[in-house]
Amino acid sequence: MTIPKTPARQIAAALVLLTSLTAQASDDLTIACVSELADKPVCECATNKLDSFLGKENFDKYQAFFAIFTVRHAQQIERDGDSLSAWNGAMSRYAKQAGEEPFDVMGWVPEFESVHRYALTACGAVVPDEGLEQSLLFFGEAR
Amino acid sequence: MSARATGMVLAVAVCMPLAGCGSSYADDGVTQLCREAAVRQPDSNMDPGKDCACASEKLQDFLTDDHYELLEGYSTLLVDIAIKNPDLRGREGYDRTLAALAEQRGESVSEVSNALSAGGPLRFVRLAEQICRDR
Repeated sequence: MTIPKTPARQIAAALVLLTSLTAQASDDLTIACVSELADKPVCECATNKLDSFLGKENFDKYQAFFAIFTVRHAQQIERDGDSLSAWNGAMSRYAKQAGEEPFDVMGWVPEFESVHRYALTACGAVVPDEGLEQSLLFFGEAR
Repeated sequence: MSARATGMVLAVAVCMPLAGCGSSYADDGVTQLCREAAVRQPDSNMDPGKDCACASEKLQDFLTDDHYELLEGYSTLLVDIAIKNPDLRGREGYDRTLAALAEQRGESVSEVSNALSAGGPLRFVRLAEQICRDR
């Protein structure tokens, strides 16, 4: 997921993501995806692929984590642009809510996220390289 | 080499000295490799018949055609090489499979290796098998 650059886009993204929580669970991923990529067919394609591959139980788990992450992501970006903390915080919060061991959540969430990235790419999205995105989180983007 | 790839190579290579290994299968390479690994890892609780067919179908639906073709080529070669070379172990088996696949495709070993891991296929095989086993 790319980080919106301008404050106006960040606020807009936050509002969309917060609004998305009131939508049916099955739309969370697609809505959040559209707010970032602005490509509904690609996002719907990726969500369907993900749903089919993961199966209902795993897909619902990922949706539940993602709903927490998107809210936290918007809050972290608003505050200090820290997406990595949002990710870690969401895993911790999800683990508490779901009664799962944090270590287990740290295992499957990145794995499902890799599957999600692949689905997005297979559906035609241009997704930043994982290594590059992680580097940018630490070193910042080029000026 | 990823832990999964190591596991897969070891799972197949370990069997080779034992009797009964190396039977032929009519399914595609991906199913075949899954079945070989499931038989040699009885603790995995995989049902080779149902779960491997499920995993192959899931991967075929999920991966792009190019990636699935690559994965099938890799799987078929790995099983073939393991059967014909019962003394092969671990990393050597994987390296030989990569080299054979690269030659078959007219690509470099690093290109094939990157496509298998960074591009997706190998990374999702274990997950697909696990999802099918747990459903």
